[in-house]
Amino acid sequence: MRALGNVDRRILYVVLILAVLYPLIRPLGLPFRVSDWTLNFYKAVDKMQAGETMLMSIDYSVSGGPDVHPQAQAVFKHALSKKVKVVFVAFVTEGVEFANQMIAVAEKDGGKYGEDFANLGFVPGVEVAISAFAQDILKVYPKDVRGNVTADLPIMKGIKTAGDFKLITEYATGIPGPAEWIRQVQTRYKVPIACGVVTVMGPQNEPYYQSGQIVGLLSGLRSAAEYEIAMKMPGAATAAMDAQSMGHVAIVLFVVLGNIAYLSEKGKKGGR
Amino acid sequence: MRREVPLAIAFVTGAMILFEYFLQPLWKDSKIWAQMLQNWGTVVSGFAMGLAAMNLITVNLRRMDPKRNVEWYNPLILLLGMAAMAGSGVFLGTRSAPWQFLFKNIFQPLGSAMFALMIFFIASAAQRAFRARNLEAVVLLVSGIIVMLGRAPIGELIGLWLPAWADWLVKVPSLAGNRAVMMGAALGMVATAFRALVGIDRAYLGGE
Repeated sequence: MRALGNVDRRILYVVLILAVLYPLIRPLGLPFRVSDWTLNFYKAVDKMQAGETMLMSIDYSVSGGPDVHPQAQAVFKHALSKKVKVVFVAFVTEGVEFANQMIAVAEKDGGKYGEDFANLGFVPGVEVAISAFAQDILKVYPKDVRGNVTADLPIMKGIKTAGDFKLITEYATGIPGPAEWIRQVQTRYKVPIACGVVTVMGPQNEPYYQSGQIVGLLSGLRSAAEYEIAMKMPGAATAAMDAQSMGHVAIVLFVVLGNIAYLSEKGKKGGR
Repeated sequence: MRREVPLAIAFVTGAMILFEYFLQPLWKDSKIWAQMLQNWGTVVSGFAMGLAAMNLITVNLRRMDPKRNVEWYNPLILLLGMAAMAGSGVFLGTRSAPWQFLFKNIFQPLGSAMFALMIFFIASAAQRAFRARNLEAVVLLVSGIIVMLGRAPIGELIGLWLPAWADWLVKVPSLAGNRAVMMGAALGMVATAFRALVGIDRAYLGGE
């Protein structure tokens, strides 16, 4: 029993790798439901009319990218399918490139830069920058990432402040995150905000969702998979769900075995 | 004067932003001033990033001395990586092939790998430290297992009660705790901001 509690960590790692790899090679197809967090995010995008403009603020780092990037990809795909125009901004340096990657795919599919979507780029300053951007977009972003004058982009027609967007979606792995956007934008401009965050940030942002300050909340890869299911377009996130499940099962199994060993040792000592 | 001037700048800037946020109808032009100050804020932040880069270079150049640091090659790798990334971005542009290669094939996979590696530490730590030593630990252990299984698709396969329990744990007790922490932190933030604004808290000026 003692051996169960002190398993060599290399064995744990191998078991974990196998548990995650197997469903990636041979998908199990485990069913899952779409949570109300995701469903309300989906509905907020889905009720937008063709030609309306949505803001996507890409504020995640590369390390959190695997958890949040699939969310942004799914929402962008959904917006384009509804002919909703999308403006990208970033208040985290890497965000610019993540937006560029999504735009490159959309351009290959026939989307027009400047008309259907645009990437305004990165501005430093975190919360101060968000506030300045919200008040006067053209002053903070005189040019986009491609060097075009922002005011001349067809997509920016009629967009001067954050309040001119029909919906703002924010994707974050830290600061800036939902709190900064709520403080500087939602409170002042009353524009609906929906947020996508890394898994560990989900529960801490739930209060904003319950209070109605954000209209939808995506938390980690699971939410991205749920969004794909809601769109009826299963993609990479959905495919990764089986692996995530098996990873969770493996960790729970380790914890349970560790505790069986611990309790058994404790019982022996108590018996003596 | 070395303290009074920065304190006065901080007070005027903070007061202007606060005034514009809460009392704008009383003085319409406050918006213009507040906007200008916030734009300055983004410019100053840009310079701060430059300063941070300079600091990183200086510190790591010092650490590259093989006599003082046996792992002198680590700062060298950092500086080479920084030079390659910044150089290709500044001189060739971020849409150039070299910068794109560095971002997509080195920076992005390394970042993802760092994130993915956490699962091994979590698994190992959970197996060794997550023990039912007392009642509180048992509650934590059971809650953790319910949420982990209930929030993954496997939970629904085990039984529909599991996701429902996991949802309850996240949306009721966890949410109540989070909300309390958020409110406490927000009140603390207001107090700290007020202390800085009126010059009671001067830690941001450096020194004692």
